[in-house]
Amino acid sequence: MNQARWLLLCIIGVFASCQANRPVADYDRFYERQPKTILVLGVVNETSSAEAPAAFASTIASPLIKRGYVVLPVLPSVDLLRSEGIYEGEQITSASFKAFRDLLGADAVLQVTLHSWDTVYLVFASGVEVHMTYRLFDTETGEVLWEDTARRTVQSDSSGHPIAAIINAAVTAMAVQYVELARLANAEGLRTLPAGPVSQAYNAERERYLASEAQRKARKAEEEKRKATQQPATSTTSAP
Amino acid sequence: MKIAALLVCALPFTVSCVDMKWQRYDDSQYAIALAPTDEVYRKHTEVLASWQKQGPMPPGLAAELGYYYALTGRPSEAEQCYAAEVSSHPELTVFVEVLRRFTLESPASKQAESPTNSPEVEAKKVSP
Repeated sequence: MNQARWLLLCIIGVFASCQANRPVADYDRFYERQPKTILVLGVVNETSSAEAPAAFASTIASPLIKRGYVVLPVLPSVDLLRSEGIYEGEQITSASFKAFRDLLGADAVLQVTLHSWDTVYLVFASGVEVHMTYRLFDTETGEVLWEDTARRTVQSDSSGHPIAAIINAAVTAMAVQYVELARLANAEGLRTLPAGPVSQAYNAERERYLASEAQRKARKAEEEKRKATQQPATSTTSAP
Repeated sequence: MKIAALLVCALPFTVSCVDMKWQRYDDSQYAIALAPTDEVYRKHTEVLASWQKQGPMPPGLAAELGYYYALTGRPSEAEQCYAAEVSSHPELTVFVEVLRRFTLESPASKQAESPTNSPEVEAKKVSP
């Protein structure tokens, strides 16, 4: 019985240390600015795939809206920006973010960069290994409020449908697959974005983050204080 | 108790209906992003209009429907959609006003009744 208890305590200890070593995401600026309306600035394409950026841009609104944000309609926004001579790609990053706030009423702009999009050929499903970066910029200050860079493998599931599986494997490169895979990649990539102000989870997530930050800062201050009190004692003992 | 059981049974169905709507939306939007034609504009307009008939739309979608009504030569329906968007999501007022001017007041909007000949369509054809 005692051995089992010790084992349990060891397991809890290991998990606790893993938790403590996990880097803490900094959402201070995000919660300070509280972005609500988001303009999606197309997709910067660094891959050789011509279809992937269109698939990404077409499937990004739904996960954002479901997370609790007000998203400016993506393709009409792209048309509006093009009419002003602004096209997707690098040149948008140098544009003044403030213009997007003043002219379109966007609190923040989201830029997606697609670094790689490699099709994976599987027997019962189709998939891609995708490397992407999402950056959410504040339109008032130009600061990055949130970002996530990730390499992820996503695959469309056709388990349980043998005929669908065969068709799936045969038509991997077809348009429908691109949309499905981009949908999954976007849902995965936006997972670390905090809930938006329209979401019911927003206040709870915000409170939880602020409380944990306050605890972390208090612990850090205590540790610094302890180090400061130990410092003179150490220096006196090491002095010749 | 029976009502609770029914609600629990109905929940996955409701969730899958919402996902199905988004799936249809993404697919028809992707078709526009790849190659905009009268046909794909009409298809996307139908997807959005059917969503609107079923109840309140998520933020931005009424404005989007208005945009495609305007591009397919239905300005009065476009105006109604823009007004509905501003009324239900006032935070989109600035954007909707810009969109309204772009589609209904600019010289390009006169050509928008034939979307395949509009400058937007030509631009999209060059770089989808």
